[in-house]
This record gives sequence, C-alpha cells and structure tokens, in this order.
Amino acid sequence: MNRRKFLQQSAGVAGLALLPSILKADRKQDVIFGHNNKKYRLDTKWGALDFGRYPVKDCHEMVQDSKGRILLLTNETKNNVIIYDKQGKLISTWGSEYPGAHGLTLFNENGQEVLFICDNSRHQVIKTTLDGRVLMTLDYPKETGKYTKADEYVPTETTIAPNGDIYVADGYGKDFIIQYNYKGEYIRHFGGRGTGAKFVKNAHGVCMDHRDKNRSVLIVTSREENCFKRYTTEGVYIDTIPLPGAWVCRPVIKGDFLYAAVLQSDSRQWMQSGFVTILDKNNKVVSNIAGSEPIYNGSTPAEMYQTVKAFDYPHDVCIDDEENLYVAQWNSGHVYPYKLTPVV
Amino acid sequence: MRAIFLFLLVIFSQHSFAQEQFQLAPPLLKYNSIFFSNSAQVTILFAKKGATIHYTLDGKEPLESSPLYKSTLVLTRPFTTVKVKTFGKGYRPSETTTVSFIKSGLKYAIKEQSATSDKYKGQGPLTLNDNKGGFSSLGSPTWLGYNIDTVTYTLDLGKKTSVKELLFDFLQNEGSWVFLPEKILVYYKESGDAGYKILGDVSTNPTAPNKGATCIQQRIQSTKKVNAQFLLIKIVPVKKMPDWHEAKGEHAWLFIDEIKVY
Repeated sequence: MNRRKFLQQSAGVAGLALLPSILKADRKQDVIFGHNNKKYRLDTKWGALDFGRYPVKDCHEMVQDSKGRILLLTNETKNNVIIYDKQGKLISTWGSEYPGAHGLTLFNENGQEVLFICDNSRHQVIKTTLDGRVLMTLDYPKETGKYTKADEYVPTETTIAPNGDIYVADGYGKDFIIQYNYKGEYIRHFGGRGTGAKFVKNAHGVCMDHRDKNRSVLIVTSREENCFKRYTTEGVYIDTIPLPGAWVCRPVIKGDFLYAAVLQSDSRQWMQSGFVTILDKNNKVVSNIAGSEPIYNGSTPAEMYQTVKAFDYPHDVCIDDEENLYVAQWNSGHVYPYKLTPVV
Repeated sequence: MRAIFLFLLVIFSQHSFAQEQFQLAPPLLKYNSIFFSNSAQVTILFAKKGATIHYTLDGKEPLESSPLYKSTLVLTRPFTTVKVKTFGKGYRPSETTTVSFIKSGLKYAIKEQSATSDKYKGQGPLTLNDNKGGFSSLGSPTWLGYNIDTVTYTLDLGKKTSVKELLFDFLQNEGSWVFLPEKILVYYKESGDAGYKILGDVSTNPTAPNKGATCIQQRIQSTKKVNAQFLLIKIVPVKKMPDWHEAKGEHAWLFIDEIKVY
C-alpha cells in the first residue's frame, strides 16, 4: 500500500468512527435490554460510591421503603446497609455486625417498617428497625428435629405473611422452609432435599405471592434445579415453574409481574453469565434482560442463557415505585448496584 | 506525519469506542456427544435479534466474514474443531467457543483399570469407549473421576492391530479442583507373552490458571505405526495443586470420559 492510499483509507475510517450519529447509536447507555413490554436502559454507574469510605463486598439484596429510599445489604461489615435515594445519592449507612449478610426483606408491621436480615455466617435471622435497632433474633430451628447444631443452618431469605408469619429459606443449609409466627415461635417446616417434586435443591429465595386475589401462595426458589416451586401457605406443594437454564435467585413480585436475578446461565457456569428474568402473572417469561428472547413451544420455555455481558452474577432485583429496576451483584468485583429504567 | 496522526486517531477512537460497548455472550451449543460413529450434529442457538452466529471448521478464529450459521451442522470428518462467535451491531463480538468432534477409533476391551471415586463412576465398563461425553459440566454422568496418584488402564484390542495414535478427553475445571494430568505414558505389546515397549508420552505443566470448565483432548502419537494387541496406559494426575490455587498443595482430581485408539 502506498502512503497516499493509506492516508485516504485512514482518513475514511477515522471520519467514520468519529461521526457522532454512529457513535451515539452504539453507546452503552443507548442499548435497550429486554423483550416485549419490559424493556430497559441500563445505568451501571447508578450506585457507585467512594470505595475508600463506603466499601462493598457482595451486594446481596435490595429493598425500597415507603419513603422511596433504596436499601442495599452487603456483607461488608464497614457498612452492612447502604441507603440511597432513587438517583443513587447516598443518604446514610449502618451495620457492622452482619459478616454473612445475605437476605433482606422489608415488612410493614402495623404501620412500622421493619427489616429481616438473613446472616449466613451467624446462622441467624435478625429483625431490625429501618435504622438498625435489633428487635428479634431467630437462632437455628432445633424445633424441627432436623438440625443438631447452628452450622447446619445457613438461612438465605425470608418472607413475611400479612398476619406476620415468618418463612425462612435455609438455602445454603438443608433447604428447608421454616415457618414461625410473628413472635418467632416455630409452626412447621417443609421443602428440604429429596427425590420428588415437593423437594428443592438450593432454596435460595422465598416470597409471598398475592397476585391471585383469591389465594395467596408461597414461591420458593430451587436454584440448582433452575425453577421456582409453589406451595400453599401451609407448606403443601402445588406445582413447579420450570425455568431451564436459569439459576434464579429470589422471586420479587411487583404489580402483576415476578422479577428475579439469574445468578448465571446453566450452560456457562461460574463464567459471569448472569441476567435478569421477568415473568407475567401467569408465570410465563416475557423478558430477559441481557438474556435470550423467551421462546415457548408448550408450557416450558426453551433453555435460557445470557446474550449480553452486562452483568456478572446478579443476585437480587428491586423494583421501585416508578417501575425502575435495581440490580445487586454477588462476586462481581465489588461493583455497586446498577439501575435499569423502563423504555416506553 | 499526518498519516501517523490519523492512524493514532483511528486506534484511539476505536479503542474508546470499544470501551463504550457491551460484549455479546457466546452462543449455546447443543449436541449429543462430541464423539460419534457416523456423524455429529451440532445445533447453535443465540436468541437475540440482530445478532448473528459465525463459525469456522478449519481451526481459524471466526470473523464476521466467516460462514453464517443457519442450521444444524453435520460433521463427518474424523476430527473437526468448531469455533463459534456471535456478532451484532453496537456490541463487541463474543469470545470464541471451541468444541472438537471426534470419530470412533478401534474397538477394544478394558482388561484392567484403576477404581474410580465413588461419586464419579461414569456409566459402567464401556465408559471409556462408548462415544458418550465431551460435556464440560462436572455433573455430566460420562465422567470417570479419580483423586489417586496414578490411573492405570490396560486395553485389549482383541488381536494384533496396527496402532498409530491415542486420543484422551479430559475435563479442565481448576476452580473445582479438576486438572489436566501431569503426564500420560502409553506402552504396547504385540501379544500376551511379549514385554511392554513405550509407544509415547506427553507432559503438561499447569503454570497459569485456566478459568471456567473446558473439555481438552490430548494426543499421543507413535513415531511410526506399531503392531499391538495390548496397550498399557498410565496417567499421572496433579498431586499438589500449584501455589496460585486457593487449595494449593491439595491433591487435584482427574476427570476422563473417553480414550480413542487409531
């Protein structure tokens, strides 16, 4: 190639690359994620803070309180709870005694909002006020007759029934769901490992589903089986929502939809292959954020997988009062939460 | 001078341009086994609008100009390496996924073999030559798993047969303590009365960590064809995992699902 020709070609490519319209079309913030009527733009900088002052380890779970604030739970004991406003501005932090902080659930108890924290390392569930005052601690459930010591019990999630009953998922322990009354008195347990549909494998999440006005049910995650399982509030197995390929974390319900962070794709395990899935009120997948387009030939979706490397290991999703999504990630290089804004 | 300036401008703008883009994930490959007798069928999935799958069968890195995947690939050559990559406007191309498909070799019986671990027993005595396997999942029932110092097999080809090459399929998943072997040695003898002679050997040195889980084929070729009825194979797993590993010093696992003789 002679010099002149090279010059012409270079100028051409440079001109093209610098053309603002082309640049704009391809920027990260212009990428639209998701499918059908659940499409979003992603802001990866939303929750970023000064790491020197407000560090995070794993960002495990998030909830929104009635004031509109977003609460993040991390296993970094410098600040186990980080409270943001919806713009990602830091409001306050608290907590230094939750080395295994994992599950975060908010419940409105007769007008007072309270939190339930599952701590993997302490083998306990701790009920606190929104500013961290401890109200109750639940130790390992020896009443079940299934545990001989605290170490066997590694709670990952809670959900609270309208009457105050507490359901704890022992997702990294023996996979039982343990039900207590509002005072923390044992009622029953169900789930656990075994052969058959009513058992679970890695009961990582649990939530109350009130979408059917006639019947509230419990949805339990069986993460290694890539599905959710539905039970009555008394722990009787109803059915399974298969989600092939998706290592789903806890189900989160907002309006008619069920949202869940997918830790990783089954086809690419431990390779940062996560995404976020959204199911409609019939528990049919309608959108996968950074994941494959939902395809149904019958009642079970085709195997799902990550398509865009936007997340590493999403661990929880929180939906705010304006339908924005926040994604907390596990083991993803100390990354702060991301925000997704609906595209209408 | 202007050329250099423009050149740098191109490099710089393309670099910052790339940082502004998300990367696509690799596609999903579906197949029954990487081993086959007549043909292997490979289906590639990537359900994302606007994205395309490109592949090569000649070992080269796939480019956007490489063949576009449209429907199931049917492979019949004895050994084909499929390399696949996804492309899409506004995204950086995915990493490359590489899977090799391998045709059956000679029939053999296994006369003697080291006992596997209780948990990873494979699928009975034919596991090493049943054309099943090549899945990088630890839980795939095709794997034979060992955490002993030397894994030994004696293969019986039934009669004196011309042998040129052996192929081994191993799992590499260092995060789960599964390493490639340090060394493989293959001996042969013409008949029951003869003494064993060396056919060949190969060594691996796990110097740098490998991420994720992959099936890795290792070959041992004889310098010339030999006549053999029996093959004695000694595989030496990693006895102490290297310093960079979180469980350094511990005994590694060896996972194997197939041995082919050609």
